[in-house]
Amino acid sequence: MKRFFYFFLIVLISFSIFSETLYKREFKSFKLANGLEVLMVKTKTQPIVTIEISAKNGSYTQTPENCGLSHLYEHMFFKGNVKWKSQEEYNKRIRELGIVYNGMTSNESVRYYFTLPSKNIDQGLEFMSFAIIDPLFDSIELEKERNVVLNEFDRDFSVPIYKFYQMADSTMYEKYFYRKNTIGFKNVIANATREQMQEIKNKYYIPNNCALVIVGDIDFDKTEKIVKKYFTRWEKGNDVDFSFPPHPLLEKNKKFLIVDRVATTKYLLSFRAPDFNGKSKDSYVFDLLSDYLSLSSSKLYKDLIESGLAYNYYVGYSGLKDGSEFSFYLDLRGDNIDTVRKIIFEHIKNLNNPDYYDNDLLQHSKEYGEVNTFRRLESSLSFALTLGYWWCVGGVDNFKEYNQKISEISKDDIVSAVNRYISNSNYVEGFLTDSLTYKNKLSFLKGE
Amino acid sequence: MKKIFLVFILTTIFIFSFSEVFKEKISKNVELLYNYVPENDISAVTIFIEGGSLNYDYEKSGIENLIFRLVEKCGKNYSESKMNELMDKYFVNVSYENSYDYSSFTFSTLNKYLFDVTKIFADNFKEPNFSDEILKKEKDKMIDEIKSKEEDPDELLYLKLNDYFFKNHPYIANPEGYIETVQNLKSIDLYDHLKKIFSSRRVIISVVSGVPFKEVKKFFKENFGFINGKVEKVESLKNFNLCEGDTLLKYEKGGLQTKYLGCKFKVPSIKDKEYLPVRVGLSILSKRVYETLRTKHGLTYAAYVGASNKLANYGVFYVSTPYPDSAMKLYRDEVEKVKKEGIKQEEIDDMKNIYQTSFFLDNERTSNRSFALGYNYLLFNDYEYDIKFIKELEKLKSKTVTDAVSKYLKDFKFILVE
Repeated sequence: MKRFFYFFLIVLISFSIFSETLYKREFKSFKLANGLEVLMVKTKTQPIVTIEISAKNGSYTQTPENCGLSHLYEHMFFKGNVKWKSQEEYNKRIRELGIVYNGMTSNESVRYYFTLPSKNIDQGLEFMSFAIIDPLFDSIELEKERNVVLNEFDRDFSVPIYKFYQMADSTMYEKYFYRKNTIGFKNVIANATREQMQEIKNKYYIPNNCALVIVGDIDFDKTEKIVKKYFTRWEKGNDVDFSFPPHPLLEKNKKFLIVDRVATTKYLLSFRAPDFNGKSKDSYVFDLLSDYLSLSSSKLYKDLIESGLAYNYYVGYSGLKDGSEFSFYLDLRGDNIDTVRKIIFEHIKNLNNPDYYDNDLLQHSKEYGEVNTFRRLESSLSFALTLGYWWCVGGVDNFKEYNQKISEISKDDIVSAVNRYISNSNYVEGFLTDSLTYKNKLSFLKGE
Repeated sequence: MKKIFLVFILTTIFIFSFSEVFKEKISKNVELLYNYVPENDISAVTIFIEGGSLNYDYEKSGIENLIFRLVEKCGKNYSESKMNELMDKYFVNVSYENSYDYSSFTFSTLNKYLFDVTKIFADNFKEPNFSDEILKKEKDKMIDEIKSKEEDPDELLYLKLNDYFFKNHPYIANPEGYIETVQNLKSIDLYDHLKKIFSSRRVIISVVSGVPFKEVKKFFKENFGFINGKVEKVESLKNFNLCEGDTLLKYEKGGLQTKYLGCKFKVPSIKDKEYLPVRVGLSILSKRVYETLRTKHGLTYAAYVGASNKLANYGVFYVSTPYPDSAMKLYRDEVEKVKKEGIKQEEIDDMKNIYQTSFFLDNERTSNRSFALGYNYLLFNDYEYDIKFIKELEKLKSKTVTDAVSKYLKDFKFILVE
């Protein structure tokens, strides 16, 4: 009987090991000796696979001297390497394998992905390994790519809303804005050198600072073997020190105003919120609070949208490790500004009152977040990008437990976090408009 | 060997795409397409209405877009507030597209709420609320959105290209509307228009869901049976009426950090046999132009060439650059190269690979699948058109592509926004 019990136990344990799931998909992870974490998710809906490298790099690792180079580096990833040397050879290989690709640099992650037919997984992983391990950083290619990025910069700054968001970040994080500025400084991009690229590579593009994410129609065992074949040779580097001086809190309320040729007024109100560390409940509280306030059955929605005072609004918590904010963004007609500001501040005043929250709606916003996560993860590409992002910013375990942690948040937790981070805290407030009268602009800036 | 490979690819595409599709006639002008995917948690429904710009004159531009906005917002049986509450309750996502050739309204929800949500939108289409107060609020929003488009230089270029290219053509009736046309739309116009299209246009409802078809069939018949009319033939579209030769118009916006150059030119209709080789040829030209302008010369971040997918159709070249003259010259050089040296078979084979991956990527989302199902059926009478498109790609030869694309690479109508 005892034997049978042990046998049963072993079967049960084995089953639980092999049947690990992540948002209803089969999931398996392992680590190579060089420190590279490999995260695999099986999705069977289409015969494709997404191979992604996610690196703990991005604007938060920048200094004033290399502000914008995390992004330029991302561009250089798609250039030649020791195996596919010229750009033509590199591009040719992409097409041969049927690869749809892109790269994205954000504050605390840089991600590169290739989506291709799953039958080409071996060649795809080989291609990824050379692209990430052995880039050439050819000087002529770098010179050309600097111009490409400068054109991207010019495109961004030709759109009024982009200038508005940049201004919001630079006002909130004035002292270390270069750690929030992904597109970077124009002069830094224009003068970037091969040596600077090499420096970023040696420091951040090492296996112990990256994850390889593979999501799609795959077989775990076969994939694991292929990964080992191509990524074992990637040399481990020194562990990265991510301890930066914290962004100072606002000492007073700050306001800014941009006047441009825009049809509607954009309004932003932003508070510093807890940095994400995975342990504290506070980050989950602000995610839930954002979802609650975004529901179209919330009181805020009724007061702003159903009333016709604003066209759209968005409430969001950035949830980053190096400086986070909780913000309201609104799109409205200029002549409604005063009324809308009054309503927003009235709501903010009440956010620390437990009676502000409807129990059913709070429960519903928890479920809403869960459903939206599943919706987002329907696509294997989105799944890979989400997982890669969490690996960089929040950790895979926190991603796994995210919905559980959200479900445990109570009204008291919300009230407590609001009291500590929002009520009586300083904020950044900004407008992008062309419809205010000169008098209104002046009174806003004077803080009347 | 190649044949075996081809069979494998096509079988895979078939298995992974529309595994089980049912077709059912709901009324004289409404058909239901149903793709049963048992493993799905999410259900998506798309309602297609044939016609697009051909359903209204220039003066009524934006009317179908405004109707969809209001159907999403409320109905006779559901106030705006009630709708907001229900949309939250049932985890609903709504999107719509008002194209030049059709209008489509898509919603998705969890399987368990498919019937509740479908009933709400069926009710709103059946008994809409276009009252003056609600209409005014939505029109103000729509007008400000139209004005906002001019803030983005890409959008502005797109609008200017359309204004020039579509003049004297039914497509000048912009489905998104113009400020003055939206301003003039009245409640009665909306009621009349909805009645007109439901009684005379083909309506396709495509559903992808994990709910068994047997349960769905009866429900959709009951709820959409009110749309019942004789399908009137939509007038066939004439081609664009443009002068021969290239033209260049400049538009000064001011305050821009770079310049935006675009052009349009005629290409065959998506229903034309030549569309496939032209589309592939332009994709290959796009690759070449991107590599020349961006990779070799570092002139731009964004460069693109491609074919649109309309019944009256056009190709596009687009670039943002501080050096539009150089970009235009390099683009023309690449065009000449295609005409003189042709497209290589190897390039076609490579492009086929990218098309396949993109096809599978699109198919992953339930709402994309419900859209594709209905779109293929509405425009090609064949919900498996995508699959056949991929199959046709396999047969394409370099001469066919070169000949077809060379014929259309002319009469470029450029616009520069600076």
